[in-house]
Amino acid sequence: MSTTVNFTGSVDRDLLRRAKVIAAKSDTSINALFNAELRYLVETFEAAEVVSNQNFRTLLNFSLGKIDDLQAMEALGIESAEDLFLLMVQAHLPMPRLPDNVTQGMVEVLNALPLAVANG
Amino acid sequence: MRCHWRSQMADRSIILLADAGPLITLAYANALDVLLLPGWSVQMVDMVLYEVTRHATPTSQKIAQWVAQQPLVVRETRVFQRYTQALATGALPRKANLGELAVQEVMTDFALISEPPTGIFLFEDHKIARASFLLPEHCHKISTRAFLQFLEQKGLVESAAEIERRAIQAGRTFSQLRFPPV
Repeated sequence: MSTTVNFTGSVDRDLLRRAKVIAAKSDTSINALFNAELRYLVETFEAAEVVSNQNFRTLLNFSLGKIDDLQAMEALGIESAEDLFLLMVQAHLPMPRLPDNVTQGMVEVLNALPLAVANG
Repeated sequence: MRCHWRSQMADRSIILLADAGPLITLAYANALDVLLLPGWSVQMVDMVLYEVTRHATPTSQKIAQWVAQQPLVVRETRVFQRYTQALATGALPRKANLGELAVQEVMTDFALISEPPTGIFLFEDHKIARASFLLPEHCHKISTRAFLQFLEQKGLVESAAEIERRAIQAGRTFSQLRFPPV
């Protein structure tokens, strides 16, 4: 029987908001969702380690930004960005993500440009 | 989508070019048309287009058909020219990174124009994080996510997150086919 412990972490505000919506729709708690996803990650990682398969570790390292796409593709023996994307979604790992403030900075660059569209 | 593309209104002083990643993501989401929504000149880089269409993949046909249906300029690069020349001689040139090198070549070409257009280069987040690009003035590296959020803020798409979700959902379906679980 496992025991639970409390710990402190931080999470993206919008991600937490969306997780709360999912928890409400699923009649469960954020805690339960977090445990389920963390368990999936840990068990998938460990299962791959047992059979000396480094692919999941490679994908996780890519997701965390520890290696770039070229290193990941070389380690996985694939040649296309599409295959890397497919393996990431199959592994239930998010693609690497820039901080929100960086993304917002790029949105502001675009907002400074004129549009040439007509709403209709 | 709430607006209609009017090609005659395209702002030719702003050129939008997408790397392979954004094309693939948007193709999975069935949302390639969002590239047209700002009304800027949408162009393709030949090496990038080759990369995303050379093999039969879940999106290769979709991207090829979409490009064929649009009045898009495909920018020719020396990278692609040399790649195809090498292939013709029977050599097997390296493929990784050639799309990015071709995009860099286009950026450099922009810098050499006396009145350069504004170049908006779309990449996935992980390629923007890479510091390998020398970014000339008037050129901007923009992530697919930022582009979609911009469109949402302008009221040109309903939901940026929904488009990203559609790509992931479609990717999961196709990933099982391409990489069947063992």
